[in-house]
Order: sequence, then C-alpha cells, then structure tokens
Amino acid sequence: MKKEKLGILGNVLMIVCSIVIIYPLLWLLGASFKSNNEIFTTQGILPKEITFEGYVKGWQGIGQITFSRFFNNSMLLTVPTVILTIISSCLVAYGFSRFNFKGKKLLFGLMLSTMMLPNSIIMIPRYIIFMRFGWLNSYKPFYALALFAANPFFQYLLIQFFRGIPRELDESAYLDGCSSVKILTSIIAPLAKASIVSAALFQFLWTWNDFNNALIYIDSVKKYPVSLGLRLSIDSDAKVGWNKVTAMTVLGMLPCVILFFIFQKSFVEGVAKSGLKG
Amino acid sequence: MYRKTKTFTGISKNQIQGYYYIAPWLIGFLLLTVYPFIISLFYSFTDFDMFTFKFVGLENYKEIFTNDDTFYGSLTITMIFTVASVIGKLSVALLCALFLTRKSNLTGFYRTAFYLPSIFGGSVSLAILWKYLFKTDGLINGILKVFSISRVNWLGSPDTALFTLILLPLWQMGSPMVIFIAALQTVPKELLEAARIDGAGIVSVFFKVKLPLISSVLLFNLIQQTISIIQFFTPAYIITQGGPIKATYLYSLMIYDVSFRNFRMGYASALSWILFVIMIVYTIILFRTANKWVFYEDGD
Amino acid sequence: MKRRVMVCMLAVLFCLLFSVSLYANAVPESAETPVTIRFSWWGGDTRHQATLDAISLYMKQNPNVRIEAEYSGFSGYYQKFVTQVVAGNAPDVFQIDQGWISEFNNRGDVFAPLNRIGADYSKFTKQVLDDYCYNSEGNLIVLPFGSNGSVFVYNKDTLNPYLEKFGYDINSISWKEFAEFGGKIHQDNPEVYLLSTMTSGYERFVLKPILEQITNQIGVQDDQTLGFDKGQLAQAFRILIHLFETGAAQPYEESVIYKEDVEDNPLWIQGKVIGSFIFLSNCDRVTDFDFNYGVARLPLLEGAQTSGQESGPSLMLGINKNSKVQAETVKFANWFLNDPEAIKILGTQRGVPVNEKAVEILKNEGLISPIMGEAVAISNATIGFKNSSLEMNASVQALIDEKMEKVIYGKVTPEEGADELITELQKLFKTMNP
Repeated sequence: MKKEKLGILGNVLMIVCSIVIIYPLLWLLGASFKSNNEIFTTQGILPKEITFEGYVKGWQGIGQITFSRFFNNSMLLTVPTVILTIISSCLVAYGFSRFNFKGKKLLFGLMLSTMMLPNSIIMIPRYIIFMRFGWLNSYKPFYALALFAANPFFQYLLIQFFRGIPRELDESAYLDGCSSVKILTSIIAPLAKASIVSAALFQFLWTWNDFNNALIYIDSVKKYPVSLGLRLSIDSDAKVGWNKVTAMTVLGMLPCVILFFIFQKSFVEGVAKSGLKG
Repeated sequence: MYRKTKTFTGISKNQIQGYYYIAPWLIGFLLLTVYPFIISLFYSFTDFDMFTFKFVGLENYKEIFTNDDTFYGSLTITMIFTVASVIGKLSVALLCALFLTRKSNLTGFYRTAFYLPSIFGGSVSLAILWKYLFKTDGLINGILKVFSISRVNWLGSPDTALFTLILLPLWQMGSPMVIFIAALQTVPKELLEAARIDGAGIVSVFFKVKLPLISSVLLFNLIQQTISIIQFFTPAYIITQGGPIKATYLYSLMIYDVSFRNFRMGYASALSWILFVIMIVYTIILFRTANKWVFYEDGD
Repeated sequence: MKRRVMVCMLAVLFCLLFSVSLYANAVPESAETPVTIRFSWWGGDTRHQATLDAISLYMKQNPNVRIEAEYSGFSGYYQKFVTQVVAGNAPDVFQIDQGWISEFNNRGDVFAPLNRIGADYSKFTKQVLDDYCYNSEGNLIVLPFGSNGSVFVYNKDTLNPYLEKFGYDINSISWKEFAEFGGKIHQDNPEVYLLSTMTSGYERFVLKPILEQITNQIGVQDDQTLGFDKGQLAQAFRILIHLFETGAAQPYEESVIYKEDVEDNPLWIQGKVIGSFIFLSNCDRVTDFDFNYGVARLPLLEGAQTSGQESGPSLMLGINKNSKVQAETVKFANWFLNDPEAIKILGTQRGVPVNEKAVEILKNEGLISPIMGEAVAISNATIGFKNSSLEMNASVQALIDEKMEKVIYGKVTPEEGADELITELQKLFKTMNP
C-alpha cells in the first residue's frame, strides 16, 4: 500500500516554509561577513563585500580577554559535565532497569516528577548550598549536578533504551561469571550506544548554551563561558560593533551546528524516543 | 521480571546492587533536590535575605496576593505568553509533522530545516539574533519595507514586544514536531486505508483517525512544553529585560529580580511556590480531563 | 563509513581543544610570591581600555602582582556585585556607585576603613570626602574616582541656525521654553529632535531636577521621607511629558532601545538629535563624532531656587574589608588614584578627578578635552543638592523608572502615576531594613 505523497503544491509550500525558517540563521551568517554599515541597510544574505573584520576584531573580545578564553572556558565547563553525566546516567539507568529493590517504583516516580519542578524553586537553595561549599565562581556546581544525575531526562532516555535490551544477554553473561559492572560495560552500554550518544549530545548542547546557571554561578570575566562572553559584548560596547557581535554569535552557534549535522539521526531519534511511551 | 530468579544469589544481593547503582542519583536527589525543595518552602515563610532571617509565617504570601501589583501583572503576562506559545508551537509542530509524514524526495531536507532552530535551545546567540531581527532597522522591518509596509517598533512598543517573544518558541518547534512525526508514523496504515475507502476527506481522517491515535503524545507534549515555556528566561532577559514598561516581565524574570536585585530570597521562594502550585494544578486538570480525549492503545 | 571518520576526527578535535583549554587556563607562575588582586568596574569600551592600560603598566612595574580585571557594562553590575558581597566573594578593589553604599549597611560590611589601612587621600578635596565618603562611625569607606555632574550637551552645528532663527538662549532657558523651542524645531524639520536621552537620563536629568526645582529639596530622603507630595510629582510628570508632546524629544519608544548609550542612536550620530542630558564623565564618549559640540546647564523652572543639577562624585572606589591581599591592594589603589602616569592614562574616563594634583596634571597635559572642561565649569557653577543614598538605591530607581515610563507611554495620567509611585515607594521602604 502506498504512502500519501506530498505533491507539487505541498512541496512548494514546504520549500517556502523551509526558507522562511532558516532565513534568519543564514542572514546571521551573512551578516557576520558584512561591514558594520552594511548590516542594517541590506536584507540580502550575501554581503556586497566579504570582510573578516567582524571575526578578527570580535575575537579580540573585551580588553584582556579574548574569545579564545571564552571558548576554552566553555570547553572546560561542558566536556567534563558531559562525561560525568554519561557515567552517572548509565549507572543509574542500569540500576533502575535491571535491578529490583524495595521502593524502586516510588523512587522512579520521584525521579520523573523532578522533571516537573520549576527551576526557580530549587535555584536559590542550591545557590546557598554551593556558596557554603565555597564553590561559587567555579564550574564545580555544574560538575556536581552532572555527577549526581540531577537532570532525570538523561536517565529516562537511557532507561527506555536499556529496557529494550533482552535480559537473556545479561543472564548468559552472568552465567559466564561476569559481575554486574562487567555486564554494564561490555554488554549493555555498547548496545545502547545510540541513546548514550543522544544523551551526550543533548547535555553538550544544553550545557554549552546554558546561560541562567552560568549567570548566577560564575563571577569573574576570565571564567566566563561563551554564553556570558556574548552577553558581555552586547553589553559593554560603547559604539556597538554589530558585525563583531554577529561574528561571535555565529561562532558560538558553530559547535551546535556541527554536532547536529554529524549526529542528525541520533538527535531526532533521541527526541522522538523521549516523547513516545516506551 | 527476571525469569530465572534462582540464578541470582537471592534477592538481597540484587537489591543492594541496585542501590549501589542508583546511589549517585539518590545522594544528589536528596542533597540537591529534596533538601532545596523543602528548604525553599521553609524560606517562603521567612524574610530571608541571604544574611539574616526571621520567621514571618504567611506574610509573604499575604503581601503577594494583596499588595503586589507587579505579581499580578507578571502572572498575567506569563499566562498569556505561555498559552499563546504552547498552542502556537504545538499547532505549528503538528501541522508540519502532518506534511512531513507524506512521501517526498526532500523530506530529509525539510526535517533538517525545520529542526535546525531548536538545536540552539535557549541560547544567548539566538536571543542576540532575535534582537537584531526585530530592531527598528533590523531584518524584519527591512522585509516589511520591501512590501511597502511601514516599520514597526517591535521591541520598543509595549504592544508588540510580547508578540516578538512569542514568535521565538514558535520558530523552535522542531522537537515537538519530531515527536509528532514519530507518533504519526505509528498510526496503522490499515486504519487510514479503511477511512479513505469509506470516503473520509483529509480533515476527517485527521480528526477522527490520526488525532485520537496520537493523543497520548499530544498530552505529553502539552505538559512538557508548558512546563518549559512557563519558565522562559534567557531570551526575555537578553532581548527586552522585561520591558518596555514590564510588557514582557515574565514570571522567571520577576523571580530573578526579587532574588538577585532586591535580595528578598524569602519572598522569591514564595513566588516560586505559587508557580509550582499552578503547574501542579494544571497538570492534574490535564490528566483528569485526559480520560475524555486521550486514547491509549493498550488501554492504560 | 564516512560517519565514523567524522566521529573520529571530531573526537580528536575535542581532545585537542580540551587539552589546549587546560593549558591556556593555567596561570603563569611568577618569580616572587605572586599576589593576585581582583579589581572590578563597569563602563564602556574607552573606560575599559584606559583602565586595562593602567593595569598593564602597574603589573609591569610590579612583576609579582597580577591584577585580574572583572569588567562589564553597567547593566547587571549591581546584582552581580551584591551577590558577590553576600557570598563572601567580593573583589579586592571595586568601583561602585555612590548610591549603593547605603545598601551595604545591612548586608555585611564590605568596606575596609581606608583611613586606617594606609590609603593616600591627601590630595583629595576635603569637602567632597566629608560629604560623601565617611560612614556613621567616622571611617573613610570609599574614595571618589572622579567628580561628576549632569549637563546638556548639544550639537552646535545643528542647533546654532535654530538659535538664530527662533531667538532662544540655550544657556538660560526654562523647561517650558525648552519644550516650545524643541517643538518649533521639530515642526521645521520633522526628522530633527532637540532632545533624546536614555531611560535613566529622563529620570535622573529631567524628572529629578524638575521635581527638585519645584520642591526645593531632595525627593527621596535618607530617612525614607518623601520631599514632595502627589500634586508636585504630578506637575513634574506633566512638564516631562510636555517635552514629548511638543515634539522636542524623540518619541520615547524609539530612544528606549538605546538603553544607556545615546551615542548608539543613529539620529544622534547623524546629528538629527541635537542634544542630550548626560553625566559629564561621558562627554567625550558621546561627542566622538564629526560635529562641534557645546555644553549648557540644565533648564530651570521659573522661580526655581536650585539648579537640580547633580554634582558630586558618583563613581567610588572601595576596598574589600576581607581581602586576603589587603596591603597589596591598598598599594595598588594608591597608585591608581595618585600616580601621575596612571592619572595620565586614565584621563577623564571616570569624570574629573577629585584629586587636585590629578586635575593639575591633566590640565597640563591637555588631557581634559575642551568640552569636558566646559562641562566641569558649568557643573561647578550650578551645584545642586547632594544626592541621598536612598534615592540612588537600585530598587528605588527601578521603581521610579517604571512609573515614569508608564506616564510617558500614557498608560496612566500624571496624577495616577504620582499616586502609584508614592504608594509603591512607601511599600518598598517597609520592606527595606531601616
């Protein structure tokens, strides 16, 4: 039986919509190569004259601190967070999906319900806790939250996937003398690669783009990740160099775009799986 | 359930191992979620300002409800924003999903294009982009000029500023769209065939066949998007700072100001709890009424 | 297969970038015991650059000292700073606004007593120190970076023809005449406005002076009493919106998006906005275009007994009481405020120094621009009331701004706006610790 076709009209409509939707992004890209004056006088994507001034000057950042510092910081912030997230999420998901213990249902339910908690309720007390530990103005709050699997979205994603892996594999490995840890690392994790990649991707993007938390936890300009660095540049420019800001904005988006294009399938699968009942 | 439980050396080992594995989450949960949760409720009954505090009972709540115009203003604006954005975002997402479940050579391209904006999440980059688009001499006005429409002061006028923000979630409808696509693809083809044979038109097919079958996913999206959008912060903070004259002063901005400008942590906690209660009530209502319109295949 | 290659390449790239991060973030060790001083301030690019240049010089002269600069625009600085103080995380030396000092009476004592830790303020104008820099226990808690004042800066090239045509004197003009004059100009050329300024500009350099000129006293006083009544406030609002009604001022909706920087306003750049009310410390910043500029005093209300002009230091330097490197910090601060080289580099980026020796040096080096010189002269000649700390409090200012905007946008009448503002101020005071 045949699937319904989109038809010419449908295709045209979709093409128009696609263009409208990605136009702002393309415009931003083009604007980053325009001179300051040209940016607001033309609507076209292509600059009359391509100039790298925005990138060169913009990269120099504000005084002492260049964007290379901001990018470094973002890396320093994001990469450990992602790694810690994956490790703890795998452990926790493994625990919930493969073991039976008292209160499992209750704890699982509690874990999911934290997804519903508005950030503002726990924001202030968490801030105070980290303040008492002396962890303000560092990336430690982020690491801690990742290590302790504070965002249940990732566990949820992995649990859905783990459940789909047949228990017989576990059992036969157990019979062969594998410890539970070995089962996790040698059998389950490799099979769940797709969802682990998804989780890693999402955490990378979310942490890379994080603003709210960085805003309250990071004080020194030299520790600013790209998100705060960008805000700094639209803030303190006396005579705003629009092309500088657009260029840096484009660079800030670059990792997201690159990752997206490489891992498109995982992205979409990850999102889709999170929405469908397991 | 494991079929051959006797191969495992008793329940106790299983249990203990289970606890070990979920330990990271459990510790974090207790320390970084449960404790803050309870403490914030406690704070809401004090006048905590990070420094000193005094128990004040229901004073904060009383003040919020009887003496705080900003609260009502912000709540109203947030409600308007949330309703408009959620309905808009899901409608657009569903519409696109319907188109994209049809066969076409370019489906992959379309899906990529539609999903692209959402990968940036609530990033500062996007907020900056949005600010540029809607400046008085920005792209949107430039395009309007081409059609001889006079320019609009999108960000400076209280009447249009909120609308500008609403457009952002709409533009980023990729995630719910993808979920809808996956859901639509689980609709059994036989049902669609049968409906078509019976002479049902496109609209009928949608309302009578597709919609009910994806209703559980619709429920999920409804809840998830509402929770996310009601806490909208970064773009509002960067683009309009809540202005002009608080026309875009979303609830999250208000809480941030009260916490980190006025330093009334107690009051801010009360505000957060009110939001939480609203969200719970909303979710409960949704679940209750869900019986009427959500259809679960496995009769859940 | 292709995907695998890309993934591998990506992984390698990541590892590379990550190791570079680790390397780049390592702070280079120095020969002697390295001392790190954290210094925070706000400003525009020019102030940042000047300050950073001064810092570099100091570090060159003192190789064992490393100064970490924490700077940003004005927006959000206050929140950040107070958060740091309360978290015990404040910088060693910092720039703050004079009006914020009162906030810290209740939120932990962050100010080191400069008179007891060896700060050198011998060349500072005593009167200024007495008026603004001591706390209730008699300790000197801040030092002024520079004196400031509010003036009307205008584009001579665009204005002069109109002065001739309509016969006004910009140096001695009433608010009513100002509005009239602006109206005539705008009628003559609808693209031109006599005035445009930022949100805080309208509040601080228009509404506030008008109100003070009506009541002859400070609006919000330190003991939480208000120096005006509803009628007077409503009258002040009326005069304010009259400026928009006649077309003298650029429509608020249009100028509000230029937040704090009138020099970003395209109409200003093109000379189509003739003048603006600003802090004189920003004179150079806004006149950095190819026009001739002039400076005038603030307009007066008929019968006013005060100029309503803000004069006095706004930017202050403080040292963290709990600084672990206090001795070194004091040394740096002394250098920053008194050293001739530093003075030359910093120029008038923070207003005109209150330090007499500094002013001399700047004059000799010709580092005070003509326009800045004019502005200072006018400001000194028309001194108004000393600001109250409470009025400058961030929450109070935000409230006044909010109500003022409502009136300007026409959402409430001047009377309603006045009513609301007074009521809300009383409410706000109740929540503040006395």
